[in-house]
Amino acid sequence: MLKRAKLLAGAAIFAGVTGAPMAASLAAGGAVTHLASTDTGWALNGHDYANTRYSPLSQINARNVSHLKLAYSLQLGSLRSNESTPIVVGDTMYVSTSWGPKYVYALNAATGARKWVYEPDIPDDVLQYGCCDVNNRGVTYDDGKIFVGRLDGNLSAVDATTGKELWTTKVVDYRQGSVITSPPLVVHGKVITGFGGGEYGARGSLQAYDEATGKLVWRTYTAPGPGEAGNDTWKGDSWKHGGAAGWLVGSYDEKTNSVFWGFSNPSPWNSVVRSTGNGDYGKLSNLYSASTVAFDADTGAIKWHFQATPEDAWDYDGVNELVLADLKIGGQKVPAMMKADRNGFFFVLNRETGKLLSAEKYVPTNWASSYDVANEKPVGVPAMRAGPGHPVSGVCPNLIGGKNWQPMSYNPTTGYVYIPSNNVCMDWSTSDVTYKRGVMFLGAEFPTHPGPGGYLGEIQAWDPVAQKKIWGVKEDLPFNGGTLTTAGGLTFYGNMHGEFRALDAKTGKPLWSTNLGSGIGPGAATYSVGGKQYVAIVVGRTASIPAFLGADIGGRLTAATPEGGALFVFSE
Amino acid sequence: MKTAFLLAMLLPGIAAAGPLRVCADPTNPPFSSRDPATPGMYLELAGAIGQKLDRPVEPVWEMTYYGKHAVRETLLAGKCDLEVGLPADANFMGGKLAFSRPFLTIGYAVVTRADAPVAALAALRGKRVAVQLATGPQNILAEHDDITMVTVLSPEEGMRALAEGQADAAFIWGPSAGYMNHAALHDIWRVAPVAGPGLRWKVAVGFARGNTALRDQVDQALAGMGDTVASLARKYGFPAQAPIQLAFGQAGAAQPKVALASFTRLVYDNERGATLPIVRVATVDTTTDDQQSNADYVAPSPTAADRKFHPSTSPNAASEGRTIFNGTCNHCHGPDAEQSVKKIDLRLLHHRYGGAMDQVFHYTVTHGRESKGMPNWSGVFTEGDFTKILAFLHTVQAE
Repeated sequence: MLKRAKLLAGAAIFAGVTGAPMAASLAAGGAVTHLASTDTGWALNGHDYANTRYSPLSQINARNVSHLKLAYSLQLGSLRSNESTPIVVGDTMYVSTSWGPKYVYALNAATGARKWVYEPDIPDDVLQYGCCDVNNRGVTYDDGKIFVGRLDGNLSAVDATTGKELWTTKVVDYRQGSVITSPPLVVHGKVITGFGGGEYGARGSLQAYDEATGKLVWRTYTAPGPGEAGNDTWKGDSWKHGGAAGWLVGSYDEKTNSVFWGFSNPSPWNSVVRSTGNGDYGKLSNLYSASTVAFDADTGAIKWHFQATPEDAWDYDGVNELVLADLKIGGQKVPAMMKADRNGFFFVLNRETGKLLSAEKYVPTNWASSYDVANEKPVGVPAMRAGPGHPVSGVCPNLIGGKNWQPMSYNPTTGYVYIPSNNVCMDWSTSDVTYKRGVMFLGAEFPTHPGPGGYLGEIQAWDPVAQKKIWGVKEDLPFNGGTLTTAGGLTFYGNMHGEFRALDAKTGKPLWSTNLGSGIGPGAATYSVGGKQYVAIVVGRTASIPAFLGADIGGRLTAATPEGGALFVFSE
Repeated sequence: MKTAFLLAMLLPGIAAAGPLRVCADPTNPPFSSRDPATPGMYLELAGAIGQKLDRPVEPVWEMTYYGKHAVRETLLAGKCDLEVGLPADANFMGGKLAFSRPFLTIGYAVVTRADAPVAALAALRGKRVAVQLATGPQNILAEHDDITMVTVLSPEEGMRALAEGQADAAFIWGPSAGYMNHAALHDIWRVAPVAGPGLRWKVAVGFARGNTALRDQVDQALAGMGDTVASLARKYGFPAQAPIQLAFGQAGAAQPKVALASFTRLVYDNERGATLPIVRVATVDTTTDDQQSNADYVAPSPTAADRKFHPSTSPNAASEGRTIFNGTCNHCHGPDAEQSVKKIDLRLLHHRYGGAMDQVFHYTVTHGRESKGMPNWSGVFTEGDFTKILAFLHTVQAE
């Protein structure tokens, strides 16, 4: 209730400016674990605290989607790795760009007219520290403020009405390869954020800051130190630089006051340093790397965890977003949580207890033969575990995972999850040399191969109860964009050719498509202002990820479209 | 107008040659720095190359936190003409680069108190050893539970751990440790390079693949610059001792006896680049190179194990052997065994020893020839590794 009151107070400001009907729009930010039917805005990065990316709007639907046309567009002034989902609060849209972000724009959501532009002071030397390009995935609104996670490891609060910076707090030292690329989650006046850098010596933690002052409220290490639970899952002092960074977005369950976050692969890649190196890890599973963790939103205390890839050796980062929904499983309504893991398994857990309910492969996967649900452990294939002196070939999925950061969505009407999946495999060896500031390393080398079946990506409709694919739209490239699904019976996504499409959510039948000129990564947002529904998408492909995919696949990714950076908004 | 055109035709090299644009990290001593007082080894070498080519050198600053990323964004994007100090490995950057001849071999080193030198890695047992994350030394020490690793992110942090007593020794990047020790710490530490796979690399000047014309010019310039390289390496404190051996051996077993001779001189070989260490072994004999004939070396009293030793015949043996060879043996015997110094040209094994080649090989790798700088590799490599290396060597024999 407190949350809702704050949002309404914020609404009054905007109502005064625009005269638009605010209260209904802002309900989006209220009890967002429910799929509120009155919801007309897009208040959070993933639409709601449950990260469903489902909108109950149906003005645009299967019957009329073919008539969609451009309402307005905006050049973002920043090329490549534009991975932002805009948020819409009241009649204002907030959209961030890549490179820092270079800009955050506040726009009239109906016309695209700019209200203000925020340009954070990003130091020039930051750009060398992002492992995976200069991406930014969006901003967060609460209580009249916009919160911005930055590549330079800072978190800033900006006045939502004026664009004036209110405070900036250092979360992490970016000079150690730790950058912030995803929007924070705001719960009970706390701005909660992680950061990246799992491969490069970061020690992961989740941190909460007071939204009014920017002061640290709590910090929980996800590579636990001495005296903290889980420290004995690390060999020697390897926890100190153990990775397990939470660089993507979190979810929140109001009923249990739990924040959920996924955490990255452990560091370094050689598992002998932090565990046994042979898959017989015993206690040395490296918590909370490659894990899903539930935290008390007020204290940061860890309530439960589920580690999907113990003693990871493949870079199966566990950050993918947690989508919350109440599913009917075996005749019972279950408070569930869903995750399409990098490691190729689709997990369904009870979000209140952390108990694993089911796990099935949703892409070609061979590092584990199956998942032992009762014991909550993978059944590993020893020959597929890479290590020094033990190169492997043909491991699936490859290190970008069955799904990467591009978000999935869940439609309670169809009951399906829409997953932008990858079908890429890899070899893994250590014959390479790499260097960092003059220091040379034995690098890991991971040439990629197309997965079986002659396609590299697939947008899948997945039934999370039956744990099976219902339909799929195959793509000739991996790393396709996130999905949006609506009560209008639609699922939207963009691909690496820059095609932005609407599919029939039930059947996968293509209903509409338009080319936006650069590869598309983020999920779209939809909202209604002045009684009219809009669909907004940011385009501008990645430039660094192709380097991880080798000359063939990576080359095709960069050849498919030019770099770009633009917002397109469609309506009927 | 016409005159200028003619001049350009007559002197294309001069007309075309603007400044030599050198990519360099402004914040990375001892390799490169924006500080004119200490420009760094690589930038000074670039300056010397520029002088030879009669072209002024213009640094193009780049941050190299992610080395490959930096190369992609600058050298491969055409923002500079060359970068000094890239790993001379054809696979580095997937064939997108051309390299000069290697000019130096650099690698990891063990740092200990100067009055307590470590003669072999086994001496680190029971000690706390500072080691950089995700490096070869960390991979090695991780296999030894009796060594306590103190994990650090940078050589600087490693030296600090040592100075503050958090570690008894450090196993970190040699040039950085040597520079800090020399420039700031009055050489109170001993910085001993370590030989072994994943520990030492040859470095070269890198160019975009298409720029072989400049590469050839630089190669020619480098050929006469052994002394320059050597004196710059000395100036910046790069470790100059003989590398100690990687062999941990068995508990109680005799360890390789390698004395850490003080720096004597640097050699430069056109083919191999400058190899800083002159090996001074404890059991050095008095025979000089000239007195000991290399042409008819026969392994003294070959053992039964030598006699029944043969190359592996498994289909991948030669390729795996090549990988092992190029990870270690190439430091002296040349990449892919290409070596113009005949004494150590292993392509001549069959030419020299004929049918005894296999047993000479086995005897030599399992006994070493210490006076020649050839270590005993038993305990470092398995018999299986030796059969693969020999299988590779059989593929490169020339008569």
